[in-house]
Amino acid sequence: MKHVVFGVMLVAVAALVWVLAFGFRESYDPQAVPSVLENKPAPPFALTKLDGGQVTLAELRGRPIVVNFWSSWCEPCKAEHRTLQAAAKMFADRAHFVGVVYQDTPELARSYLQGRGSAFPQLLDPDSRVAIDYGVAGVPESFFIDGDGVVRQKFVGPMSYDVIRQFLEPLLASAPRSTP
Amino acid sequence: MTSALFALSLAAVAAAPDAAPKAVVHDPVAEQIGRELRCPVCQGMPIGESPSEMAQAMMQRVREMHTEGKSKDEITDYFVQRYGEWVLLEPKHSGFSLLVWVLPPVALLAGLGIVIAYVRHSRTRRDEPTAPVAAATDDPYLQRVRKSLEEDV
Repeated sequence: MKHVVFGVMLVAVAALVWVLAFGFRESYDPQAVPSVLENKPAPPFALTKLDGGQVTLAELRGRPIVVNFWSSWCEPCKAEHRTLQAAAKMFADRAHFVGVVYQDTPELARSYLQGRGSAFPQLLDPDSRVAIDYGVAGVPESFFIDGDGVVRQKFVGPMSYDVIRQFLEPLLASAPRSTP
Repeated sequence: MTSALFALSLAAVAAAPDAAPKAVVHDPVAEQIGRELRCPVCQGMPIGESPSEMAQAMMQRVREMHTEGKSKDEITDYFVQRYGEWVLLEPKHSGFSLLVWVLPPVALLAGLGIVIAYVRHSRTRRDEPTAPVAAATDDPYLQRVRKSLEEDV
């Protein structure tokens, strides 16, 4: 009897320690939550570019797409912007890069890009509709979408060039041959 | 200082017509949903109570969907499909989340069972007769000790 009671208490204490140590981590760090969109069709969008004109997800299909949510008030986005610029130039003929301005004004976004340049389209997302559609919980956040329009990877935080290459190259290999 | 900053921010909002808050129509269903969905940029706060822009954008989406005729479950599912079940402040009563509801009462009952069993066990031990003294009298040594004690008395 004593052994049974001791065993049950040991299991209960171990379970409690585990729950306290790991169980609440996701609840307090929204960015630690894995995206439920991975391996699901990317939510469609039709957004206006900062410099006019519209971009839809449908017209980008055929090549892998990197969708990057950023903001002018986001410090980590600044370092990431340089990396994205370089990557967009490096993969220019093989992948699409698009930036989505997250909770920012067009004026601030434009002035942010003025000094930094933009090698890929920057889209406005009024009312954060597309950010909500993609389950964005902060910036920077990036989504790697394959040529068939399926989300293959979500990355939270500023990306290094190696990270972009690591997630993008497998999508390039499997991209349909009839790319536009 | 705080009130000065607040007055300044109010003045800024008043001066910028684009930044004027949209009129919020009272919608009890949307407000109920707003209390059940977790704000993704806050720490454990419902979107209905968070002042963050993201939470307000989500609340706006909730209201729009409800106005479009979507049910409470449809709206909740829309957010779950994008943010996962993490977005629910109250876990679902099905699947793995069911454990959250079932385990605490089970653990309570198990604990109660252990306490009852322990108390009964201690009572049984206390009520058990002590070692039979009569049997000890068969020991010749004890018989001698007892006899000598009686003689001393």
